[in-house]
Amino acid sequence: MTDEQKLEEIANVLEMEVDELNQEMVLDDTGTWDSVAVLSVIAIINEKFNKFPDSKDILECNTIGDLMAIMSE
Amino acid sequence: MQMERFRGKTVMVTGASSGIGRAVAAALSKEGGRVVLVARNEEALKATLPMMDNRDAHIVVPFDLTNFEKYEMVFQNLRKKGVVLSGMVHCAGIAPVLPLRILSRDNSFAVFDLHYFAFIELVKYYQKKGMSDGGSIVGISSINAHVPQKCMTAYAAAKSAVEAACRTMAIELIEKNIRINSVVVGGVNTNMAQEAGEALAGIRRKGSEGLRGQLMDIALPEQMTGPILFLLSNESSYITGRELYADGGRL
Repeated sequence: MTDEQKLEEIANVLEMEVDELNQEMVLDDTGTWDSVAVLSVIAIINEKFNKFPDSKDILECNTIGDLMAIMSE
Repeated sequence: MQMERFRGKTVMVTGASSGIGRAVAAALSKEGGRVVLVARNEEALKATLPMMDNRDAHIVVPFDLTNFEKYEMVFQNLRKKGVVLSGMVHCAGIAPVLPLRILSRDNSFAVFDLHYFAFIELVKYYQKKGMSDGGSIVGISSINAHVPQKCMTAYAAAKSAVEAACRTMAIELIEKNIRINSVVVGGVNTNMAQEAGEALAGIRRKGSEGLRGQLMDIALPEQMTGPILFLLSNESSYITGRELYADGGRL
């Protein structure tokens, strides 16, 4: 998954536009980083990489960059 | 007293590599039945055999039920082996947690392919001349089709489709002396349910995501075999096009 694809997915999850996002952005500042967003990230990782991430790992993400790092094999 | 409701009968069980399907396969064998075990993973399917009686009698069919080009071959092979089915239960399933904001045609189709479209293909082939001797088909539905649970839209819709299909196909199938019903299962302790549950657990808020109002604890897969075998057997000979709830009770 390329960084661009990851940003596109994350934009979708946060209900924002890709060009509003950057890797340093703090998730809690977006206003849409909620329980459903966490579930959405779990579902994307499950769909793309066929594995179930621990929700704790996702809740520990601070920035969009952290989230992108988790979206991998 | 050990019952032998399935002696001399062959029953196809999909999803026989885990959860409810595996428990049903074992229970059928203990009542004298021969089982056609279907699932994707051959290793996992074979791991079901030691849990069964007469383990050499059964037929293992490793087959991805969403590979729709393969049905013809799978059923032809069974026919060549002289298999005539007296029952079928479609236990294979997935229950992904899919929030609305990422719910798509693609991930919804993946759910519908396995729960609904695969079931339709199975029933189509089952009822073909010579493939079955009448008998009984059981679809697995879920309480999700009746009680809403957050982020489970695709699963709930697919299970509703299975129930509606059972009720409707019953009309055509009765002409072939085939009964068809569904079992509405509640919370059952399977890998599938665990994966969905774990995804929800990390962010669960009181009463907002879980299934509300279930009177009994989560069930063991073995607690689903009674209702399913009842519907497969002649004990339910006057029941078709219906749902049997095995959901632990509801408020």
